[in-house]
This record gives sequence, structure tokens and C-alpha cells, in this order.
Amino acid sequence: MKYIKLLWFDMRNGMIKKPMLFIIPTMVAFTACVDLTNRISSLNEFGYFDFKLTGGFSDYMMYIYGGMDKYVPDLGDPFVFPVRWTVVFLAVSFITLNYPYTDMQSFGQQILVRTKGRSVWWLSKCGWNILSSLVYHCLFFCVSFLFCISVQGSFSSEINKDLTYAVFQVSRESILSSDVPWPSVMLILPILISIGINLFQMVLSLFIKPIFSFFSVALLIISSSYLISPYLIGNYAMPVRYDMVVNDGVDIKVGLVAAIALIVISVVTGVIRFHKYDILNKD
Amino acid sequence: MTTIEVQGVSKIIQKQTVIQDVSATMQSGKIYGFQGINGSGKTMLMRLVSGLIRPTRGSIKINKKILGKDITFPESIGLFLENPAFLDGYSGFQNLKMLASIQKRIDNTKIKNTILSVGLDPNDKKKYRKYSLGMKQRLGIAAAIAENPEIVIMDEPTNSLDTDGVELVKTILSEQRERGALAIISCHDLSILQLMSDEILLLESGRIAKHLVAPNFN
Repeated sequence: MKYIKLLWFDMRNGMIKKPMLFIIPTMVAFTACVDLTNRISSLNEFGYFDFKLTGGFSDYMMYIYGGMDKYVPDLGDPFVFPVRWTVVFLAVSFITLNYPYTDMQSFGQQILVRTKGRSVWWLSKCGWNILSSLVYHCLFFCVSFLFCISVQGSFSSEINKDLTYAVFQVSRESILSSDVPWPSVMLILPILISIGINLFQMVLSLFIKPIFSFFSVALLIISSSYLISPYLIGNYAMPVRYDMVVNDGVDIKVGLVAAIALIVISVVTGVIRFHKYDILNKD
Repeated sequence: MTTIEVQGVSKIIQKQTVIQDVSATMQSGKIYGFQGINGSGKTMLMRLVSGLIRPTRGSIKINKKILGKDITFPESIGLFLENPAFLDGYSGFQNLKMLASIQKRIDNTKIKNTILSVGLDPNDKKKYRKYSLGMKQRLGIAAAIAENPEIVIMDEPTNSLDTDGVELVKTILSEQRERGALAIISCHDLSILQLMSDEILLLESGRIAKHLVAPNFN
């Protein structure tokens, strides 16, 4: 009961009462949708497709969360930073960065001494972090959904194979099938990874200043786009690199295990660390 | 009967010793004044007693229970640390109601009476962000005493208060003593500290330089 009350308090003060925070994901999603629509128009003009294509909901989602194809360092092929994908993940990380820290140094202290336990306070912040991340990612979905309605796109769960390979410039042998509905895990996994990263960022803020934990997470995300490694968890947040999209892609099952492990480890590490954490003022 | 036993407590933060081998015993029904210049360790000692920070060495026992081991925080504590912070978008009453809803020890009438007792209007809809410094200070004091805690800790409660406010703090502290609470205060105004305290711990560089008992404060 105490936990539910604390969680509701955190949701209200860390999200609902801060409507300005909703603007960032909304703008990011809207910009991505407009960008894809323009790219589809250009491809239609050049006659890239056999028919005049209109982007569907799944295509918009893929465009937002897709990431980038595996990068193979080559002098003739400079690394192109996946700005859109990075902004999507870092926007949510940035939005969830400060609240636990500022609350702990202000009103949260009053709450903390009254709850009598540090674990429940920390777990409430974890709950807030997970729910907030979900809500902000839902915004990406909602904006794409509304945008799709406005351009009269389709709502099938199929991703257009040709469009995907055109916009992500996948050069290797493709295995994505247009006529097979793509599994929802393809979008659930990036969100799970995002939740894991945000929790990791929160627990890191118990060791270093929040801004440095944000930079650490940014580094993790950016290096994931450059290198393929099972230790760089951002790889599992890029559907374009999944083994169901390209023939030598990352294993989606390993990604699921890695995401859940990151979430559990972050929560447990936080409980242990916060038990002995000194709650001091900023100065 | 509440007892706080501080036994050989030291605290090191970022390689700096902020509290050094402090020992003291405090009992309910008394007001303990922490005196010292800025950086002498008054606030750190208050944070240690409140359970917000953990000692590097030594232990703090509240009613024989070790803080950080047997209990995470004192079972009944009202806390007023420097620059109290509340929720900007809530009124004073809403803020205290939010806090009271956690332990459910007091009802709305008690909250309103406490707000009245610190000289604020409980029906004032003004948001906390629009409060003056003095009003914020008064609300902080109200939050610390509203639930009749066994331990009341007030760090510089007279800051930003006018003469009436200072008198109010004196009255509130006397009431806390009368109802049998253990109060710990720090205050830059030595005359107030000497007037209100039963015992004064003079802190210097994180150590207790003197432990004075009323009326022998000089």
C-alpha cells in the first residue's frame, strides 16, 4: 500500500505535473514522421517502387526505432551517425534523468524519513522510471499513429521491405519478408532496452553526478551504433540489425535476456547501494 | 522515553573528516542546541542522527536500536533541515496532507491547527512557489512538528523569520519540550540557543569542543 502511494506520488510529481516533458518525444516523433513522408515522396518521384507507396504505421515505427545497419569501417564508407535513433533513446533518458536526484535532495527527504525504509523509496523510483519510459515511448506510438491517419497510411503490421532497405541502406542479403507480419517483440525489445538503460542511468547517478551518468549512457548508445558487440546493449535496440531482418543480425532472444538482466541488475544494485547512500544537499 | 546515543561517530566525505569521534547522549524532554561556526559539523551531525547519512565509524542508537542496522530511520522524527523544500504546485495544506498521508497519524484538523500554530492560514490556496522565504520557513517548521514526533530536529529554524517568527519558534520549542519530545536545534543567534537549550554541544571542526549544561553556558 505504501509502495502504491509512493509510486503514485512519483508519477504525479515526476511526470504528470510536468507536461513540458511530453513535448520532447512528441516533437521527435513528429519530425521523424515528416522526414519519412518526405523520403517516401522522393522515392516515389524517382520511381523506386513499382507503385505509389504510402508509408504505413509499421513503417513509421520502424523509421523511428530502426537504428542503422551494421557498420563495417572502411575508408570509402564514412560512419554516418544515426541521429534519429540516438535522439529517440537519449530524449527518454534525458527526461528521466533528474527527477529522482532532485526529489532526493528536496521534498523526497521528508517522504523518505516517513516511509522508514530506503528500499521502498528506491523501488518506487524504479517503478516511476519504468512507467515514465513506457509513457514517453507510447507518445512515439501515438504521434506515429495520428500521423499515419493524417496521411491515410495503412495500419497493417507488415513492414515494407523495399522501403526499409531503401531508407536504412541495408546492403547485405536481406531476409525480411514483406508478406509476413513482423512480431511485436521487434518493437518491445527496443523499449525494454530503453527501460534498462534508463534504470542503469538512475543507478549510476548514485555513484556519479547525474549529468555524467547521462554522458555514460550516451556513450553506450553511440558506441553501440558503431560497434557490434554483445556487451553494447544498444545493438539490441536496433531492429534493422535483428536476425529477422538481416541474415547475420543480432539474436533477438539474447537481446531479450540482456534487457531483462540489465533491468534486474540495475534495480538490485540500486537497492543495495541506496541502503548506504548519503543523502546530502547539492552543496 | 526517547534516548539518542551517539557513540564515537566519525564521518568522512570525499576524504574530508566532517565529524570526528563525536559521542553524546540525548534524552526526551530536553532541547539540545548545536552551536558552532559554518562548517563545524552541526548539519552533518543532524543528518547523521536523522539517518539520512551513515557514520563512517561509530554508531548511533535510538532507543537502543542501531540506526542503519536495526532501523533505517528513527521511528518517530520530525525534520527541518536548511532550506526546506516542498512541492511547488501545492498549497501549504496540500503539502502537509501529502506528508501526513504516509504515516496516517494525524487528520486534516490537526494539519490545519499546526499550520495555524506557525502563523499561516491553512485555507490559503496560494501555491508554495509563491510563498515568501519566511512563509516557507514556517511551513517547514509545521511539517517537522505536525505529527508530534518523539524527535524534532531543526536546523537554523529562525533563518528568514521576523521578530514575531523568532518568538514563535521559541514558543514551539517550549511546547515540544513540555510534551516530552527530544528536540535538537542549531541557530546562529547564540542568545536564542542559550535561552532555549537545556544542553549545548559546541562543535569545532567536526568535534565536540564543549558540552555545556544549563544554566552554565558561559
